[in-house]
Amino acid sequence: MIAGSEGSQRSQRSERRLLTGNQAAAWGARLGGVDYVPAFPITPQTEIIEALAAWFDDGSLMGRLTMFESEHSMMTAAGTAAAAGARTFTATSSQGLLYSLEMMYAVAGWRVPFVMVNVSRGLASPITLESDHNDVLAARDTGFLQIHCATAQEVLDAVLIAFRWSEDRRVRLPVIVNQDGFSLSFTREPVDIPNEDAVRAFLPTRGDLDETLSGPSPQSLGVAVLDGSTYSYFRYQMERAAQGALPVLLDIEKEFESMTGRRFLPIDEYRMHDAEMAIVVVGSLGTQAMVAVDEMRAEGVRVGLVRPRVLRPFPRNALALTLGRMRGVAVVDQDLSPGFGGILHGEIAAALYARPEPRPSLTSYIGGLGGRFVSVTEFKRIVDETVVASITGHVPPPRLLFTDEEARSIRMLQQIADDAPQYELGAPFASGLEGDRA
Amino acid sequence: MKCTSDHHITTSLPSVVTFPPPAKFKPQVATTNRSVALLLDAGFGVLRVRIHGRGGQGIKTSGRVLASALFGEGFAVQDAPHFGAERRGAPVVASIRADRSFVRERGRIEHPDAVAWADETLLGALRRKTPLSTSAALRLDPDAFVVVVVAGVDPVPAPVRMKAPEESPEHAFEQASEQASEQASDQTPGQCSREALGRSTGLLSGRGPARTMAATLGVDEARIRILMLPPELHAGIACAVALARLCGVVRWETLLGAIDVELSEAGVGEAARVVAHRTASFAWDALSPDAGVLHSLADPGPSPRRAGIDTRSPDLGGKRWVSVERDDVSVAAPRILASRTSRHNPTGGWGTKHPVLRPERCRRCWWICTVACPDSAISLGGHGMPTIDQTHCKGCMICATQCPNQALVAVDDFASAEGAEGVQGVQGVQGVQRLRGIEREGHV
Amino acid sequence: MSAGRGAVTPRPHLMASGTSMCPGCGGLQVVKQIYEHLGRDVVFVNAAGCLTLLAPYPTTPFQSSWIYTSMASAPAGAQGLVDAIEVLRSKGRISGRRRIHVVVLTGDGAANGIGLSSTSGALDRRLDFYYLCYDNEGYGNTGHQTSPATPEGARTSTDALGPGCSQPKKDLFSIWAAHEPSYLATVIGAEPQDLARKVERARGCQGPKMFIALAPCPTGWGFDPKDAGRIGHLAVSTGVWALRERVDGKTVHTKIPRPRRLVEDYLRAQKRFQHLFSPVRRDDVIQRIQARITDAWEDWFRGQPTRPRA
Ligand SMILES: Cc1ncc(C[n+]2csc(CCOP(=O)(O)OP(=O)(O)O)c2C)c(N)n1
Ligand code: SF4
Ligand code: SF4
Ligand code: SF4
Ligand SMILES: [Mg+2]
Repeated sequence: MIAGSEGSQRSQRSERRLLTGNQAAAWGARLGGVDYVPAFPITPQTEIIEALAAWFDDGSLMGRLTMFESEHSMMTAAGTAAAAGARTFTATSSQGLLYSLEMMYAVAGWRVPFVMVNVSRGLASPITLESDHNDVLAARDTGFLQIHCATAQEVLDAVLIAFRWSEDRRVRLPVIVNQDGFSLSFTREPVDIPNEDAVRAFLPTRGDLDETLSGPSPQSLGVAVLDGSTYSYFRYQMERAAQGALPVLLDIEKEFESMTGRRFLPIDEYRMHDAEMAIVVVGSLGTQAMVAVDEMRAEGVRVGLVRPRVLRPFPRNALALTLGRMRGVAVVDQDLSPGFGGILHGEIAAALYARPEPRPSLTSYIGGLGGRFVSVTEFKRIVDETVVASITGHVPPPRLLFTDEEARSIRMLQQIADDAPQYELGAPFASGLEGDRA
Repeated sequence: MKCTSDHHITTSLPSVVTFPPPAKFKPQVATTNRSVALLLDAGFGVLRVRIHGRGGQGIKTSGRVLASALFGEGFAVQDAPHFGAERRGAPVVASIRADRSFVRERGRIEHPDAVAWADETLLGALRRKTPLSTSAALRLDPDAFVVVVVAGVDPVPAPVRMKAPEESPEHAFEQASEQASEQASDQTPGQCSREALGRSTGLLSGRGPARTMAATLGVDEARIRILMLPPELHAGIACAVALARLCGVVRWETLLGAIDVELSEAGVGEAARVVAHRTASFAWDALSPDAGVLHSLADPGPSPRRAGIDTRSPDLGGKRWVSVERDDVSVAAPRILASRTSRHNPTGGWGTKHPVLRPERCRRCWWICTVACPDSAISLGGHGMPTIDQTHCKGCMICATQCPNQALVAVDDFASAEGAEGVQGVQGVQGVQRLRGIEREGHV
Repeated sequence: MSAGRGAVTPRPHLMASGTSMCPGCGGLQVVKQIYEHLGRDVVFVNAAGCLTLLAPYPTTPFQSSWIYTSMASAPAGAQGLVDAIEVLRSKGRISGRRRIHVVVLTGDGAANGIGLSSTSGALDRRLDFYYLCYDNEGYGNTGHQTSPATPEGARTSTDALGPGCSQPKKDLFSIWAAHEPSYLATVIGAEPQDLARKVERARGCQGPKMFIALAPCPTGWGFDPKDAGRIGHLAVSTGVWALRERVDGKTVHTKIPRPRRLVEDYLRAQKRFQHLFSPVRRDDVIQRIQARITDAWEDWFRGQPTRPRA
């Protein structure tokens, strides 16, 4: 890590360095003063726990990192340690997240605060190491709150904010901070590391020890209930806490801004003030989309970008307000629910439907699966199609982004894999980019 | 499942009915499928009944027996058991619905026409008014019919006539008690309904169990029947048979056929089948005065309950929706902050036998029984004399088998006064019950 | 060598009555005893199993903390707790000299199968905790299906017909022993003095303290609850359940039945083995079960330099 230039005026005492997303996550945990890190390795997350392990070893961090035998165990320990009052941080990805899914529901139900970074990676099968959001979206109903980051800076900021958010007694739910594998996790970017004292003021040590399992009075936690009404009550309470977490975040965000000069609103809007068209993406694809927005603005298209930073709680009203006044909205999902399509698209549609007509034409694109690149040109083409849809009123069916070049390449791979020369190169893809659109 | 009224599962009926039909068997109501159809046309809507009990009592099987019997009579039925853990002693509810066509409504039956309890714990729970037992879930409609089966009663008192309670409840109660004790040695099996309850009032002393129960359940006292089963008869089967009898549309042969089918599916042996048949005979006879009573409830006139509160009720059947707001997290999580609250569960009603100390035999060994009791129901009083917490003792009798001096003896809760005499000065059933702490707890 | 009379003194019951365990539950019996020996300063970490329902909202029998985790990961939950408590203590954020014992409670199904990996992990890390596996030889809470701990010949709800469970009981003691925990013992609620002495001995050890308790289960095994104690004694006197203890790499038997009764006495007393006796007597199976027990004891005696006294 090379120390870089000065920070902004407001955060004079911060330090600017080149960090990968993973290092930024580790720094977030370090500045947050974590007591405990239960861990299990998985690419592309491993660097985070390696960094933390080293800091525990060299004394930069006081506390403990314990290696577990699985993410299921790791998640259990994160939950019990948080229940005992330790500020707890953990990290996982993909298969690991799914392996722990049973416990994610369980610990969220315990209403214990901790932060987990998920480094998004596509799920098997087929196996891949590269990014998409199916892993983290599989956890969207667990009760964990979700923050999605577009830059390494946001990863660090998000971890600090997440601790405050999670520990707030109006919320008291665990929080996932999501970043994309490779495009953030292994990518170095300049990051402002806030001053430790400032962070301490923003995020004091946990103050609820008396109420925890290590407190003076006993408690039975995670107990069974005997009927649907009691079950419903506790689940409804999670819903109320999660929904009520949005205004809490706005409070925290104000304090955070005064510390760092950076805003952290539930939705990041880019060039939306006079936009008629909007692109919606989540995560690091957002910065790529900004490039497309800039280029199209230069060409005179009034397009902007809406990037939800927070997916749980879902900022439904804010999204509906911003997007509701567009003529066209294109949702680019970096996930796929087979038999349904884009998960985010469905959620945005639900948010918009609460708005009175006229509603924007809403198009759906699936891209960026398993790390597939979505080019600036593709983003521009997506906006073009959405403009047409908003004029004609004819919304095309969801498109699975795939080019003729990719089609040729898969045919070649299939020929080798199946030793089957009878495949005609590109046959089913004959009409190229427009081919699958009847 | 397709089931029309002319469909009849005669194939499942045994060709030879091995157990003789009960002496008092007289067909009371419609017994042909045609008349079933007529009956339903006359406004007999969905029949909804529940059987309550605890794991180990065969409640699921009982529900199946009743459902099979109704199915055998040409009804489309729905038989939905509900239980938590597969645990002896854990509450089990079977919901049975019958209709002419496929039963569409689902879930727990909120407004049953009749309820049968194979579980006398209920009686204790009602008496004790714990937060759990007084839950609104117990409430029934005023015209619901209730059968409570008390198992293992030896000897079974004969039916006793009693003056209507309106006349003079207290007096009538005492009179019934006297009559009951007079006849206590009479082994004739019979129904022991409201009238004969005086006999077993250890359960619910005071102004009469049916009355207490009526108040708690919210039903008309006249619609409560308490069926005292002799030992070795099967409480669960008795519930099924009682309900079959009450609805009056199940024939004796169909019932036996259903019992045979279900028991053989449950994989039980011949001995159990004979017990079930004997139980059926006993319960069938006992409830013969009430045969078809549910049918009589089903007059075609508009009844708010029958109009279908279960399915379409704009006012939520007297309830209303409230908005659930965020509570402080200290109470909003499934967390118990209090200690030892399990004492609110009066598990003392789980068994039908309970240990009683014969102090003269106890050598005050200082530990054997108290360590052996899994349920912490024995503590040591002064001078090392064990004290049994009868409110919670589950009646497993481990303590009695483990005591090297046979100082703990099993007492049948429904034993005759004579049987319980001489035990720590306890006189009769009421004494034993008092020992079990029900009396004490009732005032806590 | 059972402990002297003094080992068990009556203690006030820490565990309250009114749980939803079956009457005569051998699992509850052993948890209750161990709780009384360890005292109030414990946190229980429970896996899915019958004991899940010890504390259904709003009732708990405990006056100590209890947390329900999952079927697979109770030992990991214990690790998180122990780690957190140690870290918070080292940072001075919790004070007081109370030593909190973290006690894992799991059934045999969890211990032998789905939770074996998390147990192994905790043993690898030499976690300072207690682990009590109450072994009712089946998946009890779900209606007693065959588990890896179900003994040969026993009928369960997945081996309800035919010859019963076909494989012999898994040797969890050896699996755990291979991890060399600080303390490892088998116990049974019917031998409370032996149990008390073992808990006392374990108390002095730092690291994993592992207990496997045979838990006679009236519901799953098919016997009258009143016989729970008798069945427990039969398990010991027939040699089916060897009361053992392992410290510093050495296993010793704490109670050697002499003479050992025939296993038949134990089998006969339970419904799950009835099919070995009627309608036709299955001498082959009974002999096989007997031979396995006899061999195990012979093997052990052979390994002993001097025969210990009963
Ligand atoms: C992951 C998971 N799979 C299945 C279950 C269902 N389940 C609950 S308890 C239980 C049986 C546990 O058996 P054991 O560990 O022997 O404990 P016992 O029930 O006998 O006390 C099972 C299979 C569960 N809770 N979690
Ligand atoms: S075991 Fe028997 S002798 Fe010992 S205290 Fe109990 S009742 Fe008395
Ligand atoms: S019968 Fe004895 S051992 Fe069983 S619960 Fe009652 S007091 Fe305890
Ligand atoms: S099934 Fe067995 S182990 Fe489970 S509670 Fe009942 S007796 Fe205990
Ligand atoms: Mg088990």
